[in-house]
Amino acid sequence: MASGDRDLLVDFDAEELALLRQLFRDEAHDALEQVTTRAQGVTIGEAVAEAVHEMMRVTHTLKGSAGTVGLNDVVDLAHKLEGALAAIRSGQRPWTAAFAEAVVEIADGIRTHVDAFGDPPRAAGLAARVHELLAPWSESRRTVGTMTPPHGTARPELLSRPRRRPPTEPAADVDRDDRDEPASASRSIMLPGSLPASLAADLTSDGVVSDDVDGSASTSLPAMDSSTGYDARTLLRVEPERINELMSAAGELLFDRNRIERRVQLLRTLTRDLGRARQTLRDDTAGVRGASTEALRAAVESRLRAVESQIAALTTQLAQTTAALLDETEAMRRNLGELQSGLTRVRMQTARALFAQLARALRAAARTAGAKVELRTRGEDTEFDKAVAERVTDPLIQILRNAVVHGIEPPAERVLRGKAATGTIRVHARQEGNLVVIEVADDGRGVDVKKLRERFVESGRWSRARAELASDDDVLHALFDPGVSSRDEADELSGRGIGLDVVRETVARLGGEVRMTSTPGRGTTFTLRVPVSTAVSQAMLFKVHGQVYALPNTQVVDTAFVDAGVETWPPGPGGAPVVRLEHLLAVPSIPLPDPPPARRPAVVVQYADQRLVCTVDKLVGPREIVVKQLGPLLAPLPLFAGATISGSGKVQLILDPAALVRAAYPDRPLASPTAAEAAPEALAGRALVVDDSRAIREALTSMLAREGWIVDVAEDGARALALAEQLPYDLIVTDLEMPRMGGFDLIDRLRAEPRTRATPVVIVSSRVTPETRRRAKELTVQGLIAKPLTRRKLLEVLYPETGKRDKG
Amino acid sequence: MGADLKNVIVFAIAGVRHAAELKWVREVVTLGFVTEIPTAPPGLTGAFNLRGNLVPILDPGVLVGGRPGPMPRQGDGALLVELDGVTAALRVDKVDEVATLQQTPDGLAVLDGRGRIVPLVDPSAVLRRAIADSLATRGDGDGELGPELTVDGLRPVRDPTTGAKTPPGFDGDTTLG
Repeated sequence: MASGDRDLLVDFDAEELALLRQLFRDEAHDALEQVTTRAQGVTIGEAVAEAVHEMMRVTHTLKGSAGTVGLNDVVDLAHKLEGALAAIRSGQRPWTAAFAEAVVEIADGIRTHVDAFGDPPRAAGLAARVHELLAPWSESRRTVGTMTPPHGTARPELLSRPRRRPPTEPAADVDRDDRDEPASASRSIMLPGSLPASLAADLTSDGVVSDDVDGSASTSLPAMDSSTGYDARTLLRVEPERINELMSAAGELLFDRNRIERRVQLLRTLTRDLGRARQTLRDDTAGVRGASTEALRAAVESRLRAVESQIAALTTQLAQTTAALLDETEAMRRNLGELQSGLTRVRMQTARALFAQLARALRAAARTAGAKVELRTRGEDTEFDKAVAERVTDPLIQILRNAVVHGIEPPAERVLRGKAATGTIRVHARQEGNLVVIEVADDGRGVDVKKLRERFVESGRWSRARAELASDDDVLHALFDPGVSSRDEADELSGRGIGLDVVRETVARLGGEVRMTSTPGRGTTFTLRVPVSTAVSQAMLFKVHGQVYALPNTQVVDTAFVDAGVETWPPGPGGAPVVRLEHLLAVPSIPLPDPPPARRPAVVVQYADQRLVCTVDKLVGPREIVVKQLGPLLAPLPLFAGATISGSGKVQLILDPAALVRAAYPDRPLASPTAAEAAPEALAGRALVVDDSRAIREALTSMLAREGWIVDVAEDGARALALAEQLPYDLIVTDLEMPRMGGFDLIDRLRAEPRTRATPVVIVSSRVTPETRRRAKELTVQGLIAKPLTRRKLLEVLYPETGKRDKG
Repeated sequence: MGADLKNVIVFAIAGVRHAAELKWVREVVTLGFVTEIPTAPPGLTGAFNLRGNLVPILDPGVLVGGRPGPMPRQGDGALLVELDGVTAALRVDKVDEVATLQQTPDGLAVLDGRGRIVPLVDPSAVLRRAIADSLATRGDGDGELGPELTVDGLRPVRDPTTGAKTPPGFDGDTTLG
């Protein structure tokens, strides 16, 4: 496999090969699915001949694509399957139920094998298994005669031009030139399997909660202490399918980019052509002026008409190219969107890991308190942003500890009250619109609101009148106020400093809320509502005119104390300008005390290589903030980039460093646009690639583009014909067997049109027979290439008499 | 037409009674801590946090062309209005009543229980006006209304030289021709 890859790296770079194989995999799945469906179709009475023909067709296509992306095992397997099918078609063997079953199994086997191509030993094992399945149906003969040999040994055939040099001679050049490419085609994704063993073990024992959601804590908790447990938060665990989605989106982008680059090249050519047309026009105009005779004038006029029609043609091409460019840009935009949403999904994690952490914390808390508690969880598959999950973990653990310490009664007391001796805490996560709702419910003693009311009065926290006026809900929620504990003793478990006030503050910072309900004797339920996703970033906070503002930490390079009255900091040349932020914000400055302070605090902002020192009233310090969008009403204001909500629920504005810098450097000239890179002028022309296999299309596009061709693609003959009617092509490379309109039909139609009668056509097919050759010759086809396709074969057909193929 | 009945909420702004059709008003709220928005146009008097969401506060007095009201403060009453996903709070002095009242023939006011004319305020027009005022502060002709990019970590930054918003990493270096 490795050596095969190295050969292929001559044709493709590593990145491209990986993507082509990804495309191939999808195609193989489709093809094998069709084989399966057809085989099963025959079992329920469909016509055998038609089904076998169709199965052979897709198997054949599969074989060709597999060879092109260097998966020779697949070529072998497909080849054998095709042989077995051919034996049925030729009547050598009857269709039997056993054969149908075998075909389904073989298709499954090939599919599994294809999926395993990243794991060569496993893939080889799977291939061997499929060979076993195929053995009873394979014949050691080649009587069918229609198949090309499975490996890339077939030379391309030049039909209309002689081949001048022996095919083996220049190979060394090609190889040497291309060896610059990285030799390793594989790009590894870090998955648990590739982690150090110890880490991997931690992950498994740590991140997995038993599926038995109603199992008791003692059986379902991972056997690991929170103190020694691996901190799952530092690693983002991503399901492989999500990486695959991203890979495929990134791959699409690569193709989009290539296509757009080619269009831009074409635009450059058109610009050049237009320039030439203009030059001709100018010369001829001068000619008209000097034209003395009628005959000369007529000649010039006819030349002008020729130029006019040339310009008309260029205009049409320009319009078509622009339209195509727009389409491709749109496709790129769509793919970018997919990539972005894919990335957002990568950041999402299920509640499973969170629940595992809670279970561990609860177990530790229960052990310390000597309580018997079991945890029941629901909604493991609820998804939310990793950042949100991280931030709700501590509040949830705090709530659990409170439940263990304050809520769940000792077993004896529980039995007396007619409850099960073991307490139960239920954690239930679910999504409601853009919010994740997490409920934590215990079946403990609940909160006695009446007693709580009295305690608030006794402790002097509330006046009697206030306590009497307050609703039960008000009293309950007063527990979230700072400094309140429902038990007098500050105990180790529920934490001295961290109480419900911190829970509320943390949740509020996330832009969420926490509610609490309680029934005395029955238990307490906390309900957290937090956004599914949130953007958290580091910021520097400071006060100006009594309000707190934030600046993203990435643009705050320093804080400083700046001497009053200086205009640059540090003073002297090279210092950055000092700006009073209240001036930029146009808020009245607080009257300075008398005498004014000698120095003022400042933040040093750097954006796009420009520094600015902003003096403020007071530095608050660095904080982690949740960035909120401003919305259509506030977003247009140039100075602000967003807002955040403080722990106490105040809106704080985030300043836009770019706007500050722009305000401070108003006369800064625009950056000079970078000179457009020199246009590569060597163009081979415009080619059209026609193939129903996406992998082959992209492979051909890549090979031709390297030779300077501008390439359009079509997935069948009909589409190709439509394109060829619009644009003049210098080369058409086509497959033969395609849905809607096959290759020969396409060439027939092309040859019938005067415009395309002489267009060079190259056939790339997996089925090259004497009959194919005869028809190809009749249709004046330039060359015939047997799949699997390689760059060398293509170049030999395209540039038979030049040394062009030595080009890198 | 003259007998048109409207479900309205009657409130006072800058001491003058006004009415608004109920369909525009999502709820009546009490303002939390009000954050001032420096550089904002006069009708946009602040913002506050309502259940984790940032809600701008508008002075309907300014926006309907009347007298400006006092600066909003925590505890003031406000009508929460929504238009096409844009939410804002209209600060009011007090809310009088919710009633079904007869519209005047010109459609610009309603008649209250005692036959007095109460001018109708169109909250959607107030919102549109506020958005237009806000856009006008840019002064660079960027009148395009659109949601900000919300992809985490790809917050748009403004190029200091052009003021154009581009997500980092996509600096538009493709020059055609």
